[in-house]
Amino acid sequence: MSAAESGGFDGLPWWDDLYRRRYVAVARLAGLLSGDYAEGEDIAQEAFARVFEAAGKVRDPDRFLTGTVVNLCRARRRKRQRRQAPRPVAAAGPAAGGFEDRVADRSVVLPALQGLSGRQREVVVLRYYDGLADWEIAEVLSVSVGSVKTHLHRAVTALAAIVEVPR
Amino acid sequence: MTPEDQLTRLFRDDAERVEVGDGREAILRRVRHRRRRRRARRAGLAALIAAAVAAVVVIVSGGRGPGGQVVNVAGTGGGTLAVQQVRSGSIGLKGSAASISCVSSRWCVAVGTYNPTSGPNGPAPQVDAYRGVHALYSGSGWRSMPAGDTANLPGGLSGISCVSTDWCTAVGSTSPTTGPERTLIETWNGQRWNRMPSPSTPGNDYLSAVSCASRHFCVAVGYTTPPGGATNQALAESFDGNRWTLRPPPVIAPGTDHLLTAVSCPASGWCLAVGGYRPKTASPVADRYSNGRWTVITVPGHHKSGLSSVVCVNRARCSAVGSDSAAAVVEDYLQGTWTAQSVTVPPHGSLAALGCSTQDCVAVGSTTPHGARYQRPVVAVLGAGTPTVATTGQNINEMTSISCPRPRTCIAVGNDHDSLAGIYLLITIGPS
Repeated sequence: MSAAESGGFDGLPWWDDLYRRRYVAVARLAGLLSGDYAEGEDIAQEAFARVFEAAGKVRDPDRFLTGTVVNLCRARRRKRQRRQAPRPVAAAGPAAGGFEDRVADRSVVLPALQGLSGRQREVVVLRYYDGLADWEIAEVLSVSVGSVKTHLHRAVTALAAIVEVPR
Repeated sequence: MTPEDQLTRLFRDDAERVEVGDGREAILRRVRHRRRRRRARRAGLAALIAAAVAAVVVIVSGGRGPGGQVVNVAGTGGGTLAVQQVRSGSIGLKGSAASISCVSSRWCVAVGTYNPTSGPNGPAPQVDAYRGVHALYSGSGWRSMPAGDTANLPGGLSGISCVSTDWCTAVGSTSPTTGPERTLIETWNGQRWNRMPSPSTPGNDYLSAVSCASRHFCVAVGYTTPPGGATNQALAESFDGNRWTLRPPPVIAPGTDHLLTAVSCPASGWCLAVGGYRPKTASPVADRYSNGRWTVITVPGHHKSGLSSVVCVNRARCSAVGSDSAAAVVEDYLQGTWTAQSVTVPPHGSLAALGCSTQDCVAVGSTTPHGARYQRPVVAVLGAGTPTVATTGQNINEMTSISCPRPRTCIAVGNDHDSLAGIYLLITIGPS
């Protein structure tokens, strides 16, 4: 009988530590990446289940977790795109008011992120929400650091146009 | 505030409005569901897999014995020594096994971690319910050892070193009700385990491994996460026969992760510890302890991962193992010079632990052979010629430690795939 079937994650204190440190942040990260905060928790739970399953096979559970979340979000986005036509970017529109007002708005970021390509969204969320460095983003996405910089530049430019982020 | 800071604030403020509940139960349900589905699929494929395995496995021997079950072994390589027989069995504890130390082939101790609050109908797992566990191998089987004053101490054990049947030291960490993780050090006095006072830093401290040259000299290593710190720093303590003292290794570079995972002390006052550090990508690192001081020594290997195990036969001769996504690596440290030898381990294989007798060294790890759905143990016999690598047929989660009490005999511990409980392999090697 597995640990999971016996009612807990016994024998895996590292998993518990990972859960405590990152579950809430990963759920929010998944919400940003998938474009739907409601979907974030579901994706985070699936990612943590996969990390548990991969125990002993991965050398960096933190990185594996982030990579899994990115892949799951990508899959969800694709699935959603197959089901429905993409919403027009302009529908998001620039948020009204100054910076403080925009922050106070319910969600400024999600509509703004809709105007970005999948890769731009991943790069900008991993940088500004998860706080990863260029090389760490490159490792998670399996792309070059140069590519990360390019996508980041384009993403920030696009975001500035939509949410009027001071530059 | 810079535009970068503003974007960070915008993202975080936006996301942090989202309430996130406790997801443990949902995750558990997902894990159970995935396993049930996999088991059903596996049942359908069992016949096919069995045929595929039979085609490639060289059966060395079969049957059951008192010390566990003899398992099938498939081997490759051109070394002068090879795996003759592997006998496997359960350690008999619900907990996982992290480390083993043998005084003889009939006296070994394994330590690990156990969570007594879990059960089919038990409450949700509690972080503070973990306990260190100790099991004794007497040549014919395993039994648990009395836990003494640490029986109710929340925590887990990661490393052990035995000098004699009445003196061992085990290390790990303990989780107090409040405050950060503290170091945990226990000693075996021949009758019971007792906690020893051990210093901790202000951060979360974890001891991973310990090595004792005698009852009067041990070194334990691990890592600490300083309060508010994003990076881990190497942690080390030494024992002089009376008390443990913090001996922090040098910081390689500020903001760089530096973790020590294994240590070997062949003589009083001298040890070699290995682990990894990460300036940009993970890299192997070794720290030499001599006369109370640590020195970081460069490991010039090109593999992108830390080293996971080390054994020093004497001050001039050590070997360490590690693995990255490309290959398993054995690093030999001879007279202050590192030499790397690549070991071909079957697909997706890695080496996790190393054990040496006075004559030979054996490494264990895991691999997922073609056609197999789960990891299997790998045993690599190192020495003259190309290392000989053998795989066995059990499904495991990981192999964690190995001890070779006499030439050609080693005992390794790891954890079962399904139960995550400790298992052992009694390995006999001989001429290939």
